Amino acid sequence: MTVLKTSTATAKGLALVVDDLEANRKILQGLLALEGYRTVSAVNGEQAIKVYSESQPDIIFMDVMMPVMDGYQATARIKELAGTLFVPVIFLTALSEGEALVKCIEAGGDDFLSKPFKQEILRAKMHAMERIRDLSRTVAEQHRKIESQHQYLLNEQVIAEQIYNRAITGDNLSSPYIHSQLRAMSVFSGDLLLTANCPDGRMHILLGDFTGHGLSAAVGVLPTADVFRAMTAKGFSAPDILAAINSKLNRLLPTGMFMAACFVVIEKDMRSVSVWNAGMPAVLILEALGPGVPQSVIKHRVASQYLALGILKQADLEPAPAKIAIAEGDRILLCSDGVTEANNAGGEEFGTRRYEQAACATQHSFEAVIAALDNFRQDHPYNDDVSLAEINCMPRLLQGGGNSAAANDFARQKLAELLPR
Amino acid sequence: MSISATVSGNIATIIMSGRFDFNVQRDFKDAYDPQLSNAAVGAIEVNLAGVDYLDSSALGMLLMLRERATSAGKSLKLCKPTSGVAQILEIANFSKLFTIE
Repeated sequence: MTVLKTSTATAKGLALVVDDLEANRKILQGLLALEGYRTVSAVNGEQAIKVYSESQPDIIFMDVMMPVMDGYQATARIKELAGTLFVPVIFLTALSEGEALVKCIEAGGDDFLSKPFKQEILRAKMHAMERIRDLSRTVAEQHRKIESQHQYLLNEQVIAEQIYNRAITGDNLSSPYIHSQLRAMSVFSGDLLLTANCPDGRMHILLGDFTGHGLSAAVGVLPTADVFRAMTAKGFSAPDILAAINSKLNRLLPTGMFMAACFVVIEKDMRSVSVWNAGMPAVLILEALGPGVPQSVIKHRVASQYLALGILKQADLEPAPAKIAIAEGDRILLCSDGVTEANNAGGEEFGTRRYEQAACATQHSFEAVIAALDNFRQDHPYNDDVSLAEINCMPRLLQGGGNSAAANDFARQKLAELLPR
Repeated sequence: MSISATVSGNIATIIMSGRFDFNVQRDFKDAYDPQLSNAAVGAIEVNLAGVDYLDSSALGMLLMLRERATSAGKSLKLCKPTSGVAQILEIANFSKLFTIE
């Protein structure tokens, strides 16, 4: 192998000339030098692969018939090594039969140069190849940039989601008497479920649904969770907390963005609950139909009475809802409109009727609604975030506490799935 | 979804049909903006007779229109909602904010 330095600049790049005849190599290297290329050479296909790997040329001139390894094999191997990088291979040929030319292209060749070599033809072909090479490099560079940008955004989202999950669900009460499922349309959910104990032993539960979905819907979630937890811990009442969340969201969110929410207060004695419904589907209080009967019956339906939070400067929470008497074993079922407005492939809506029928079919309303919704929807994608929560009014409900380790585990598992291995 | 606007006397009517959701944000704004800047218009009516579904983003767009109409000194009315849409407006308690006929 010889590197021929030329007096003209080295800016155009490095060409590899592969030919078993020294005369041919010398002529072509000379012509290439005149075009401003540095050159390296090889005497057969096998050596060409070696020189290619060592010196990474920008363009290759390849003879067809050579001892040890011919030009077809060498080209196929070099193209394989080059991968997505465009390294033009120009076959040096005296061939006139179409079949042989086809074989050159099949082996990965990009063009032909017929012997004897002519300077002007060589120059024209070099220019054409330089154009294609530059274009291919631009495309590859853009592709790389997009790819790295995409990876960056994905990682950012995953990290943000983890923080978000820790802040929201991570602080929720962990209790076998609370079942909930939040299914987000994108990485972020605009729905949130918050649960916390008051100092006097009552329990606060908030299910919220922000306008829209995805990241823009999720921005209000953190401040809402902050206000809910801080004020519940200090013993504030539901209307005070709702009013504070309303003011905060009104200041924070642009006009047209708001949070529909229902807020449930379970009294310490487990004898009654109060439900504030601001723009959510009706909250159901279910009781067993009778001893030994599997069905449930709707004891109360608490329909939306107030405007969603964040719309008005000052929340209008009058009149306060009446207390609803409950008995041990009653269940409170909350859902976002993503449940009742879920569509199937035929464009039909799941609707309130199917929702309530499923809830009443058993005493495990949570599982029954999820099953009915899945059965109705089949594989049709959700068009909104979907949330469902059931609270089982058992005396031990209020004795639970502590953070939900399960929620943190879920966040960690999701992170592991998304991060590149 | 199709949106059109007509003006008769001092009342501008925005007629909508189909699904009123986040996809029509731009078109809805394009339909009401000229009415807000038209000095001859004193009242805006949104005719919802042809709308079969309305999502929370649509409620948001109506709130935005309400804010803009108020600051432009024009009255606003939502007209002829179908039963499905009326139910969504009722759950949202929009009768507290809008005249609905």
